[in-house]
Amino acid sequence: MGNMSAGGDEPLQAPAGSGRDPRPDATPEGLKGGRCVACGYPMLYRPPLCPACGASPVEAATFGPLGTVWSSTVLRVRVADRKPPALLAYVDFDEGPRALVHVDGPGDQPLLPGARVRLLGRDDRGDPLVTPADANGHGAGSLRS
Amino acid sequence: MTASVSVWGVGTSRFARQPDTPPRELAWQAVAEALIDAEVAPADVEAVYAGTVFGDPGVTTRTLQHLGITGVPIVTVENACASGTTAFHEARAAVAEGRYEAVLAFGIETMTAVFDGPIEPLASDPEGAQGFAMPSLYGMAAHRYQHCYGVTPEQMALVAVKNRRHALGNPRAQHAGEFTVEQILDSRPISDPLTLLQCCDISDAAAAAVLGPAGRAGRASDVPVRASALASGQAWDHTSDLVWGWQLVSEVAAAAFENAGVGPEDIDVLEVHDAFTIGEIVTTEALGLCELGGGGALVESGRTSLGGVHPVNPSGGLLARGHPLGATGLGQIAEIVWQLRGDAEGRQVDGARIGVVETMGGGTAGIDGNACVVAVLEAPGGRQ
Repeated sequence: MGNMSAGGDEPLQAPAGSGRDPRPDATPEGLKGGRCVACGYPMLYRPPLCPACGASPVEAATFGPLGTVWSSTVLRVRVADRKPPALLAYVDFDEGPRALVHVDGPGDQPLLPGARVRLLGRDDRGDPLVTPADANGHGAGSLRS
Repeated sequence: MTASVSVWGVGTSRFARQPDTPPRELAWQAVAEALIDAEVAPADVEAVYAGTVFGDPGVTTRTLQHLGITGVPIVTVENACASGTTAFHEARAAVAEGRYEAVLAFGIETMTAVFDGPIEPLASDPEGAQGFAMPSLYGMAAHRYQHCYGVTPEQMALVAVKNRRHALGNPRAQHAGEFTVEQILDSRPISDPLTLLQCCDISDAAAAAVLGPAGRAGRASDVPVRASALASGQAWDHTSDLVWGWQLVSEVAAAAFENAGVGPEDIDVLEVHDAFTIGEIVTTEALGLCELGGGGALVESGRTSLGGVHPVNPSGGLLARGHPLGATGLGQIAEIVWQLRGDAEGRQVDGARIGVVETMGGGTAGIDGNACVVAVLEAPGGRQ
């Protein structure tokens, strides 16, 4: 797809507590997901069969909370009910999967690929939120309401 | 046992935001033109494969009944932006397998009936639920390309300059125009580093093709289909260093090229998926027109412009002809058919003998594309 013009007003998220929120479970301890017992493939969910090797089971696993930015962008137009700008990144979590996250960071420029980040948890909208991390893995930001 | 297949006729509506035009009229324009071009009566259409993404349930039967296309198998498919070319691919397969002759491939979309702005991401998608829309997916690819391969904003802007200029020769195009690189880069920021004029608009249109066995007596304008290939994406995850879609396009193109007996060097004209400027850069690499990371330099070289060795998107592409999702793929097919017949008028690629269509459908988190279709067509009757 990929068409672009103006903006809308419909909320994006499934109703809170509906059980249908598809976003990854993000906590300060790390990203909650699954790992194939047979091949070690990490994933954001726990399907009954591993998508990489077809084996089972997929056991519960926690990834990060540190990770490396694969790429980043700043969305500068309104999408549905979300006010711009939004600083977004794909992050490869340590020993874990790649996940889309929001960034609580300085400035409004994309993060460079290779930058280190730390998962803070979910922000007030329920999105996974990271902050840039220093060489010791300490994050600069904090969850804000 | 498979038979050789040709495109017997093509047709399209105009590509534009046209909220006052009902879907049936768009369909009539496209299908009637294709049937007349093919010299096929509506009653002789034996099956229909249609593509739409946001069309109303039953949109195919609702619109085609008025042309007398009734009482036949009608299958409507959805494969995101590749819906129209998926319909084409299935129609080709049905003819090749001998199931039917005179099959209609049809695509339709009336996006202004659904959106007054951008396509909104799905709340059921783990990335869509975060407000992640397609411009940001391509913005991520563009940012990665700047960092890893040194692709410049100016090179990306050149794709928009080229395709909007190409569309000046296409009277059905939505956003033809002469722009400078500076105007492209100075347009409204959308998702860094992409600006508004590097992003396609929403559109309303229909497009169609009639396919049947090759070698029809007395028909010198039928365009042989050398091959088409279709696949869904594979995992796009922490193991993938290629940007979204690259591997899928590369693998589907390799399959189509092998079946067609051609290589990238043999292609004279291409219609590819340029919903965003970086998309064309990535796709030209994945199709083998240049090496990985060389797509920015390729557009800068002029080789993909009209007059170059491998003209890409002479119609204006998705950026400038328009991108009515379900109709896009068959609009691409129509353009390549016209090019291979020598009927593309002010945007004609001289002597084009091999043409390629590539469409990429996306939007599902976690895989490198919902679907990709690559089709290879050749000039009718060995036209020189």
